[in-house]
Amino acid sequence: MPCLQRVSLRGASAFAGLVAASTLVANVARAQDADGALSGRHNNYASPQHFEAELRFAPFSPAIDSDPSLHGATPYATVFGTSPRILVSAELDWQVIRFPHFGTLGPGVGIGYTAMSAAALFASPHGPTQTLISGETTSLDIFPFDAVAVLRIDVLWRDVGIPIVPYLKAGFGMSLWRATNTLGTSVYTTGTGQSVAGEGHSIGTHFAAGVGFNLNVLDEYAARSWDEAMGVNGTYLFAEWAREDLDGLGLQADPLRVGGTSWNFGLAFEF
Amino acid sequence: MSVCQPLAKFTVAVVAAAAILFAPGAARAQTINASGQPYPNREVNGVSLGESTRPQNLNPLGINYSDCIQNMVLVYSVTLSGFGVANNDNMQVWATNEGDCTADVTRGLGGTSSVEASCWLVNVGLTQPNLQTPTTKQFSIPVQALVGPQTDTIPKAGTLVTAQGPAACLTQPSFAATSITVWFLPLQSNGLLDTGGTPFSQTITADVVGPPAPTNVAIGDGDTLFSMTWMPNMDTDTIGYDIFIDPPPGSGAVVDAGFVPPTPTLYCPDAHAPVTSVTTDAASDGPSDGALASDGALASDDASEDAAELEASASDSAVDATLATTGDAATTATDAGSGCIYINMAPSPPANTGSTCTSTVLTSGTLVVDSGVATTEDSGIDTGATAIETFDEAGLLVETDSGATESGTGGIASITCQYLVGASCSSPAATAYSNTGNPTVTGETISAYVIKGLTNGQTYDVVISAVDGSGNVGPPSTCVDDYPAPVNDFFKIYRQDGGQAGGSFCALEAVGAPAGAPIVGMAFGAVAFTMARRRRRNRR
Repeated sequence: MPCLQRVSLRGASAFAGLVAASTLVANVARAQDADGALSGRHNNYASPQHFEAELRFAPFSPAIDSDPSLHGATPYATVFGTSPRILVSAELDWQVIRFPHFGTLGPGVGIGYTAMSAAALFASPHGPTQTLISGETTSLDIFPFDAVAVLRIDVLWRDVGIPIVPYLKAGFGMSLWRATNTLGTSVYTTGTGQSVAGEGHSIGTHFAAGVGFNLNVLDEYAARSWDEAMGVNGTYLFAEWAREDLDGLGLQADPLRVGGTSWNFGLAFEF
Repeated sequence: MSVCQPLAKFTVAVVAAAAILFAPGAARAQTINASGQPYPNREVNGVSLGESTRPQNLNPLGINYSDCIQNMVLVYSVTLSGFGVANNDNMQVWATNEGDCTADVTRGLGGTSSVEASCWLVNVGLTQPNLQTPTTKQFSIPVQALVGPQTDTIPKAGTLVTAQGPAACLTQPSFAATSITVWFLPLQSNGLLDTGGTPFSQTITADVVGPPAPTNVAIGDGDTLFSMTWMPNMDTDTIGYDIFIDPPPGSGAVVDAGFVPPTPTLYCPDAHAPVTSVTTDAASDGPSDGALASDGALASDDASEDAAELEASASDSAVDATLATTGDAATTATDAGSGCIYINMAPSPPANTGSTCTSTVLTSGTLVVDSGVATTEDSGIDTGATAIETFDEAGLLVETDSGATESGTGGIASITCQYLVGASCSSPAATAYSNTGNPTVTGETISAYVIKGLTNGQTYDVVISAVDGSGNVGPPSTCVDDYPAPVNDFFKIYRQDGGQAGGSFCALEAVGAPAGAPIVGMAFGAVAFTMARRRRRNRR
């Protein structure tokens, strides 16, 4: 918990710094804006805005070892180590409802992919060197999906001109996963002789909070051109904290905990 | 002298010239042209095999080692015309690897003694044929006569080169393919080219040497498999690699007598000693009821269980330092509760593990040695002979009969098909020096392959040969050996540690409420449907 608090304080400080810097950038730009083209408001020239698309990247480690049924054992860390892997994901949000002078609310769906691979271990020391590192590869592929409600608070940008848009997401997540070895999908034979394939899905909750920095303030004319040509109203650089608890929601007794907590960074486009 | 005498001589000369000029057939030039069949027919032991004996990707119209060693005969169909009594020309068939045989010096004629012949006679052809109208004739040329005299041992003009025997198939000086041109020449009775005739030639690609053996061949052991890796060779016409294994998978090989399966033992780290033996089934299957848990895949509580550390220590053969805690006890662990875990005692490796390969069939191969070059440098004597030596395990020949140090440039594998992995063979006993199907691995730059279906604990010897674009299987690589053994992948360790997930993408793992996942899926679907419906409504 103290660790979480430290993270929160650090995040708050970073957010405050970002707001200040953004305000400064916006004011400088506005001072040079003779015809008002740099206004953050949804001007007449702007195309209709209903959607947002995100492409993001995150260092990610699934919380597999947090499974209570493992009783403290760490099969994931034992095999794949503790270094995070890159999670690539994309999301499409529909800004269904606009609250004047506040923001938008609507559903969104996301999809992602990450994988980890390592040398499989011999069941017992092998050869004259008694090595445990085999020539086989063991891998885990994860395909996260999520369906969330997205609240984007863009009043700062649209009404005040500060190019900062915080947002919140909450919903459900589901990940497909597949464990493989050199021969294909892993198969485990239980004591009763039943074969269990190393693939499945895990369901749970998905929460995220983030903040986007509107890049339109850096080059308003290019932004306007892109809007006219492509219908893109705003381009954002964003950072997002996300947590996905794929514990089965009480509906799955013991899913593979392929969710986790991650910091995501990426680009977002409103159109 | 009478003035009439010169006039008389002139008149005789004119009449003679006119007689020659208007004599029947004298004005018709000799021409030799190919018939409608552009490529020679192939025969082995008198049986016609057609124009090609290989797939299109394996130089079907050329010559490879297999063609040569079978003593294949190429039958050319050539149309001749213009040969008559008046010119007394002969037609002969010559071959060269330097492109041209029309210059008399290339056939050892009309030049100085310093000029070496570069063409050799492969068929005496026809002597003074009377073929004034176009006539198709067939000429047989043994492949061994075509590829034999490729070095500086070309016989003198007029000496017919016949099938040279298997030794002729090993005279190619390098693994690079060569172009051999076959010339059908109209020659005068003295052997000089009749410049009034039109020769015909056809070039055929000959490659009777396989690519060099791949290097850095290594085995990565797995569960009933070998993960092979190697360094691709430098022969640019390599199309793939053949992998040979002894004993062949599925051949009923018996597990090596020196292999002792792991002995599952209940181990308590705090006591630092194995305390109880358990049955093999219990240990290999792990705790099926989920009541038992694990401290990880490694045995010791004191030792680090970090995978990176494990890898580093294992590579240094320092397993004892990180894994074993007491005596020979080590690794794969399943927690039995109350501080004890199941482990597998280190098995005794197969008896010959760590030694060199024991297979004799995989270490054979033939190396081409151009002794005419190498021994001249060393002893000053050009024997003019071609030495044929057997590959050693290192893939290089270092000693020849002359005692000179030499190294070859290529060769041919001579391993029977029954040891070939993952590729078709005409019969198990056939020698796989010519891969007429697809090699085990296709692609010059491919450097990995997984051999499946092996028996855990059985030691296997493995070699790899490169296959070139003519279907030649090159000499085998250095032989490597090892034995496959059981492996714990992530999912197996997860399940052994008590995890219960798995089954299939759609399975409800160890369900408490069978309808759970579908309900969530339906919820997602409902949201999507609502969104789509609202959008349609807005459009209206």
